[in-house]
Amino acid sequence: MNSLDLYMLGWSNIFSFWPLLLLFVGVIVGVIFGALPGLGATAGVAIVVPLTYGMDLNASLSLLLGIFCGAIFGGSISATLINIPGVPAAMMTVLEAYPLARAGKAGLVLAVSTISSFLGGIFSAIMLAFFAPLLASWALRFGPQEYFMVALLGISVIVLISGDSMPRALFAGFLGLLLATVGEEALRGFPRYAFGVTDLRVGLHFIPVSLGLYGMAQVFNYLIDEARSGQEPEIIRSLGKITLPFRRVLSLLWVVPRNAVIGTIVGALPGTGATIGAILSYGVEKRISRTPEAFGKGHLEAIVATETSNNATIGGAMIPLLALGIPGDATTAIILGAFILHGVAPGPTLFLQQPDLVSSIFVIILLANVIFLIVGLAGARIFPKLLSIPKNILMTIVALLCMVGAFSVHNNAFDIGTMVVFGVVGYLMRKAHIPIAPLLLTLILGPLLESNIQRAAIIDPTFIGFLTSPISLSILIAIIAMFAVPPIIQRYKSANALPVGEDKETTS
Amino acid sequence: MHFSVSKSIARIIAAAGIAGMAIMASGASAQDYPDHEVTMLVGFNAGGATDVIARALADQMEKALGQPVVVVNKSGAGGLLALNEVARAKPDGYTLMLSTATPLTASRSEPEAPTVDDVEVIGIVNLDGSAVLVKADSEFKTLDAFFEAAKDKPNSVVMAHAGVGGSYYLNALVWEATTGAKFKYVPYGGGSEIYPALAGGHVESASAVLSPAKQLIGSGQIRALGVSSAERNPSFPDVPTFKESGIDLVWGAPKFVIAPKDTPEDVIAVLSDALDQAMNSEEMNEFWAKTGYEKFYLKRDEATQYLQNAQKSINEAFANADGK
Repeated sequence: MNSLDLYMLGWSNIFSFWPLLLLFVGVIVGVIFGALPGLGATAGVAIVVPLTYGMDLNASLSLLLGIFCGAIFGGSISATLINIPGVPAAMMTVLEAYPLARAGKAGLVLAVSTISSFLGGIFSAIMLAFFAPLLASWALRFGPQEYFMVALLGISVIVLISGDSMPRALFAGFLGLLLATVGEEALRGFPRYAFGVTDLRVGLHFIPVSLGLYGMAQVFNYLIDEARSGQEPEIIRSLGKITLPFRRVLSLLWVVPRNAVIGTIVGALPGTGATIGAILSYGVEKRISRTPEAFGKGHLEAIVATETSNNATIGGAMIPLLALGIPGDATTAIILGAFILHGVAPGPTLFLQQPDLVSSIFVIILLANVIFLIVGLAGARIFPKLLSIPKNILMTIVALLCMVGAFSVHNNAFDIGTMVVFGVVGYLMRKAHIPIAPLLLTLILGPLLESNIQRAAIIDPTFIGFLTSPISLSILIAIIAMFAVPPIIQRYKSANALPVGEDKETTS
Repeated sequence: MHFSVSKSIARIIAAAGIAGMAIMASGASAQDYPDHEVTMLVGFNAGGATDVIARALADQMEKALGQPVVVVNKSGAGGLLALNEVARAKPDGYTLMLSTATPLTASRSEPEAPTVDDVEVIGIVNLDGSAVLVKADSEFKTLDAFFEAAKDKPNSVVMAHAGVGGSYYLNALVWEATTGAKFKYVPYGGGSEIYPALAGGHVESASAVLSPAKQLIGSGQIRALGVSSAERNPSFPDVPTFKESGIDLVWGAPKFVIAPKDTPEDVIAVLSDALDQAMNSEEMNEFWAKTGYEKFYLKRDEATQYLQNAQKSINEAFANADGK
């Protein structure tokens, strides 16, 4: 097999009527699913996968991967325009995109996040075709110790998103960790904090929780404060300038490669996914930024970082799926079902025996990224206008979508209740100026942290593995460095603080 | 390329109508059963093994029943949420479930959970033999040596499983009860986490299903010591059964169709016929061959008997595990 085959063979499979049509439909549906708070990539793929059981594999993968790519990108749209991450993977994008959009730069943010998503996606597709077997075998070196350190690194990002008050951020973080323990414990299967309620044995899924904290909380905020006071709340209508000076473009492009690498690697680790990719990229970017004080107030570099990274996890997540037969995240786990149904067992020999299939997947991801690039850039001028509908109608739609999204996780009405409760929690947290992101971050990473320290302790009770594994040790050193640095950041902050949302180069 | 787009659309419309239909559903007599669509619950997400099997089965059963059979995924708590729903549903034959071992095991940690005695069993459709997998460089070359080591030095051999509520942990407990071995268990979040842990050499062994590991076994990254089904798996001709290795145990994780308790006998008869027709269809046989899931078909009485026996073995295995 010629190594270029992986880039060439797939085109003829995909360039026929049904795969192209389904790919196009898939990306559009995905962008809509992603942009609407409620239904994300996993829900979108899960809803559609039964429809693909009758299709051939190329057509089925076109639709499923189209939705996957479209949805992760689409999440940034609602993050920018209504301050709600359309998918959890956009939770870090919200921190920067919404402040900029309020400052009248919605069009620019949408264009930047579209292009970053596109570049991240393309990079990961190329990595997939070139390095999949290599990266997949490297990912196998991640055992309990390494996963524990990845989770710890992710959690330490709280320090970087604490805003004005470290105690409040830590409170939210520990609350998230505590909530992550609800449900059946792993060793014996007995329920924790379930209070005899069967539905709570499942644990608190991060989707209903995030829909409550971000979406429903805004609805409550509108009902309780804004609607009653009669003041017209802010709606982002103005697009602002979409152009950037050339030097600024170069400095943003410089951010892309490292975050594309982070996203692809995180995606390739089974059990992680787009959200963790975005969290780590945000952390790394803030850590190495020359202007960390601008983070949290609307920083374009951070948006480039998180959107490049979360879309790069898609190609990354396909790597262990294709090279080992092991899904890299929740969405690819569903896609694996489609492979099995068509009698294809992905694994080490797939690249040798069915290079055309691997190549088709490369082509699908590539084209999906091109399609949402066009949709996103065209939409950057249109999407903000869609929101000029009256806010009472907008909030009704948000409330409805949050309910649908919460229900869709397990087809269980209980999750709607969970979502509403966390709507109240989110509302109260905002009133008390407690940041929301740390809670969601620890809720997502808590299970990864707990299950892996448990496994590590059972396999090797001495815990020495945390220090003898080169990967685990390097991550540990990175975490320690991160904690040693905040005092320096603090000094920077007081020395040259920038006004909110002000970005000196874009205004020039 | 063949598409069943119109059928898919019909199914979406049918799914959308379930809520409305559920309200309309009356205590229809068996003469006109079924006069609207039948729901088949699955306790796991779309795309998983149970879902894929349920949808293939539903396609064939609806041909026999003349009404749509709609698969609804109600995932969570190892299938317990879906099991609760079917056990509490109206016994009119319109709510079924493709169950995994949940009713055999859930009552261990949840005393209120329904058991096989609390539902009607229509038939068993599938039983995937569970396998002992070891990492590539494991010292164990045979099943016998593996169990001997775990018996001589209890809690020394590490075994990964896909969660304590699940079938493969249960299988391991049954192995323990049969062989006297004692393993040091490491819980993982599902099969998809087990195979990389084995292939990366992070755990010594695992109790898991064979078919997803086909490529990893083929490439030598994982080894299979034995499988506890009655016969060798046709896709894995080199993997011996437990019996061949001198361990007298035939065991696996069944998937079976259940209906609420007290479903009228004539309705059960209609469902049994439909299941029979589905299981004997050419499409279903093609499905088993293509996917590598193993067909294991037992009709109502045999199936009930089988599950009651299984329950006994499971209770003994739990007692053995708890008594240490």
